[in-house]
Amino acid sequence: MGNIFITPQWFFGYDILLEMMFAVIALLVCFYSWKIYKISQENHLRLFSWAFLFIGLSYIVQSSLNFIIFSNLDDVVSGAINLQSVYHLTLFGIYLHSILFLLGLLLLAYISLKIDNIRAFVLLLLLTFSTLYFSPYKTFILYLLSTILLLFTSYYYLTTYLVNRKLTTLMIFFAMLFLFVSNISFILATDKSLYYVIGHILELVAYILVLGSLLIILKVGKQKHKNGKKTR
Amino acid sequence: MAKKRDRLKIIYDILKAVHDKNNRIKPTHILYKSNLSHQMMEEYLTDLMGKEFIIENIASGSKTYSLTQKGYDYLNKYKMIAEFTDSFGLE
Repeated sequence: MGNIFITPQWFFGYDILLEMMFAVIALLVCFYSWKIYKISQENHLRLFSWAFLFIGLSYIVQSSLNFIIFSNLDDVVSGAINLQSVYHLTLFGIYLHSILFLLGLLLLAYISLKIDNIRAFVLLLLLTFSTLYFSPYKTFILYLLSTILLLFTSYYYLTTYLVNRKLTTLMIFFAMLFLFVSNISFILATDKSLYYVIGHILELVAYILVLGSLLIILKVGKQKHKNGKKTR
Repeated sequence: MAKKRDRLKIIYDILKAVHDKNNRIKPTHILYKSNLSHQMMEEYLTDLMGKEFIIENIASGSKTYSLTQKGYDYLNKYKMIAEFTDSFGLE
């Protein structure tokens, strides 16, 4: 059984733009994380890069799906396109988006556990996807699982901030918190269209915070280390 | 209590020690400069050679270490690496 969000008609198009923006920001984090992984060769940076790759791809799927529906809206309304096929396409898109998003969040949660054991990650993966597979309420469970993972990740960033007291970590904590609340909003969006809009606005705030912290990191990172001498 | 030195900083300290010794350093100097136990230092050196940050040179029975281009890159980009990993809680 699946539920589909009720999207307000005036919001069509804006959601596509916003989702593309989220994808670009997530892929930027993925790119820089991969770049730093290539220099440092630290495994957790590679996993972090994959996490944001999955998150970025999830938004590309969501945005593409909304674009297909938006660009064929007249045919759907006139009945030229079967409503049932639109329903199935939407459901498929939601599942694919959520699975990719969930994979990204699972990787983030795994990294935050600071255990270098692939079996622990496989266990997380099996528990998550078997719960999902056998549940009759797949959409609800998908969002519930990602909400739990976002809460877990938010808590991790809060504890990290309390140790390092960095502005960028605080921004990332708030970004995760906004994503957590937006996920709750998406659960409620199956009944009320306003929550779909609220969810997107909260996501926008979250990704602006991620982008802001990334820009600060890059700016500070370009300054020379205080003990560093120019080498070569 | 002093903050525990993280792994990335230890790597930086080792590479910096190699660099500061005109890119040719004996293990005893690394031990002194990096402030690690002998066993820990050996583990780090093995790791750094695996990552191709340093190379081992053996000449007339004496062992020394030198930086590779990857090692130089790490030194030059350390501030960025530290800032990114610190902010995203990846230490």
